[in-house]
Amino acid sequence: MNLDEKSRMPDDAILEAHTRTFSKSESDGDGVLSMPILGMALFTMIFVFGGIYLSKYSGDFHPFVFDPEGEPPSWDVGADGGQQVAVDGEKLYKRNCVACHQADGKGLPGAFPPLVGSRWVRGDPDRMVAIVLNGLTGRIEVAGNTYNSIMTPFSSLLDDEQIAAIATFIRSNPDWGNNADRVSAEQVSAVRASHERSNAWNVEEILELYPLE
Amino acid sequence: MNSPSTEPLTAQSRLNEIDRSMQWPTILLLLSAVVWLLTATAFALLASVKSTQPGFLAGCEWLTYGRVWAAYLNSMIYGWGGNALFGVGLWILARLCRRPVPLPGMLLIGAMFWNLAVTIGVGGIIIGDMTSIEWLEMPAYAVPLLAFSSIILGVWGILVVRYGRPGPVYVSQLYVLGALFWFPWIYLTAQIFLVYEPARGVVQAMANMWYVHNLLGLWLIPAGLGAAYYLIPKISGRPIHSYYLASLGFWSLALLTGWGGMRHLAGGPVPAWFVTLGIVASVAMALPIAIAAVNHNVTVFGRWDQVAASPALRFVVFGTISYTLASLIAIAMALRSVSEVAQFTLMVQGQTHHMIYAFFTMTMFGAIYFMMPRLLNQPWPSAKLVQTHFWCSTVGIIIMLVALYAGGWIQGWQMNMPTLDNYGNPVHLNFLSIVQNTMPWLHARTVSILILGLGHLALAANLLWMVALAILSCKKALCPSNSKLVPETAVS
Repeated sequence: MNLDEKSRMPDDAILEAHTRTFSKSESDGDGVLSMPILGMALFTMIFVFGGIYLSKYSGDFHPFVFDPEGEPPSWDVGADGGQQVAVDGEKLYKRNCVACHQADGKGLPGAFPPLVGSRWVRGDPDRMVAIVLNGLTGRIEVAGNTYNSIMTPFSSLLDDEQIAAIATFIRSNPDWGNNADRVSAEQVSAVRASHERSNAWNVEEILELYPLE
Repeated sequence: MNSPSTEPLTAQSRLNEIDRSMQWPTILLLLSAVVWLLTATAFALLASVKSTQPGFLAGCEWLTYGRVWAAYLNSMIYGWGGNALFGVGLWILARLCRRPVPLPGMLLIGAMFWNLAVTIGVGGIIIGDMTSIEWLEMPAYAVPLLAFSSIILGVWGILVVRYGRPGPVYVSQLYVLGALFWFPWIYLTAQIFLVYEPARGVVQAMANMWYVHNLLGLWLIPAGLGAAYYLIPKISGRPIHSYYLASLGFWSLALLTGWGGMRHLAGGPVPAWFVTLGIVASVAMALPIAIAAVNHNVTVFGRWDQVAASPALRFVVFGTISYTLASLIAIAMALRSVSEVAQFTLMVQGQTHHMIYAFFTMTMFGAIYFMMPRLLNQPWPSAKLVQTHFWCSTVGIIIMLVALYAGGWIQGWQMNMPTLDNYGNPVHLNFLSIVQNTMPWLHARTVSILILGLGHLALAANLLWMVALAILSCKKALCPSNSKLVPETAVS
């Protein structure tokens, strides 16, 4: 390796070669030919590819589709003017309940009771709210089958509004054949205030307070 | 500056005078560049070890992974990259303007402010003031000084051209001036859109990608290309293949790079046409890439003895070949069918390192090997250390690129590839096991950083030795009073 290397081209020579190139192409009047034919081919390929790709993958973008006079799309917010949809009952159900009662609300035979067509969730909303708040243990008969397992309490995990949303989703879900009344957060808070207990209900206690219709 | 009027100078002695007029600021820039390179290597090593051994030095809050990684990126890009870019670029600019530079004090102040700003910025990252924006992690209090010093250095570059000898413009001057102009522009724009008046929603991601892409494509890459365009004819003695193509290459790079950044957002919540435009611009980069490949590599092709004999040229040629490869890989990774595998994997890091290290850093090493003997009027003391540096850098970067490209491709392929669970349902591989599978590649990355660090130490040792020799012998170049004694052929 040559540590004491000399430069083989002075700066003036670098610049002069540059000047020669440009003066030649200008005086000959054929500057275009300074582009080699392969370069032209590459240039053309890039243009063809770019045009096709842009038109194919631009997601129907068009600069003139924006309509400043256009009406924003409207959504059906329901009879209550959208007041109740602040908390999404379906989402909360999926997060908290599907593990046992399943996404279709039919539960697991022999283990967890169904919510579909269940008398326990219809009628007086306080019964269902009380069970969700404090949980339930022991033998229970739902839709002709007997179950014996534990439902966990949710009083410390969910607030009144969330429990109301879940109860409303379950009780008024037409896919599940339920069309009972909505449940409001005030109703949940009234049930929460009506009894001071930390342990789970058993079926007899619930039926005594909230008999099935 | 008044000497040309008294007697006509030969090209050789005028060159000495140019080097002398900007000697100290340039030496400061190049030496600080090497110090930052060593700092960045230490941070990189620490971050790489931490990514496989999270417990390593975990007790120290200042050395947590997030901070060390950001400190590595910033000291590499702004510390090493910035100092090397300004030192090499401005020197090439002054050389091609063929007159001693005006106001060398301004260059010195710019260089000192730049280093102060990067020190404050990297220190701020380490003590925990970093922002969460990629490549803009430096805290807000370092930003004004960094921007200000880049403007000082840019204005100084324009002054060099203004007071230089009028004449033809060589493509290296275009590249260097481009880099000097683009940095303050993209840096301030990104700071305003991301830190001071943050844009909302996805526009933030778009502004960030625009910045990251342009910092590499409009700052580091032009500087590297400009240096290669200057050094290759200078050392090999052959004019570059085509000057006509060279300026077409510059303008197409300037036109296309700014659009290309949006390709990094493929699959993100941005309008499809935006990403498509980025992909088309990235593919169109084939034109400037092909031009650079022809001009750089064809010029030295077949002259491998000459390349191997020159300490500077071997680094530069390694860099330009890497530029072609890294750019082709970038084009491939822009295509949607590839990016659906490659995106968010180690491959992205691999491509960035391919460009920043294998191209930019290697080219800057070459420039430093060419410049330092001329600035100090003292040849490199040890050929063995140069060899060590070259082979450590070559082997280290090849190991790193193989590890990151291969590891990244496997990682992306596993994340996309469904496997079947026990019941025959398609499930994706557990994310944690995919992360586990990258471990061998990350170990390889640590090894590669160790090897690179060895090379950097060889460079630093050689450089220190050289500076010590120059100071001890107090050569003419270091003592301007007897500078007339420089033999005309000694430096050029």
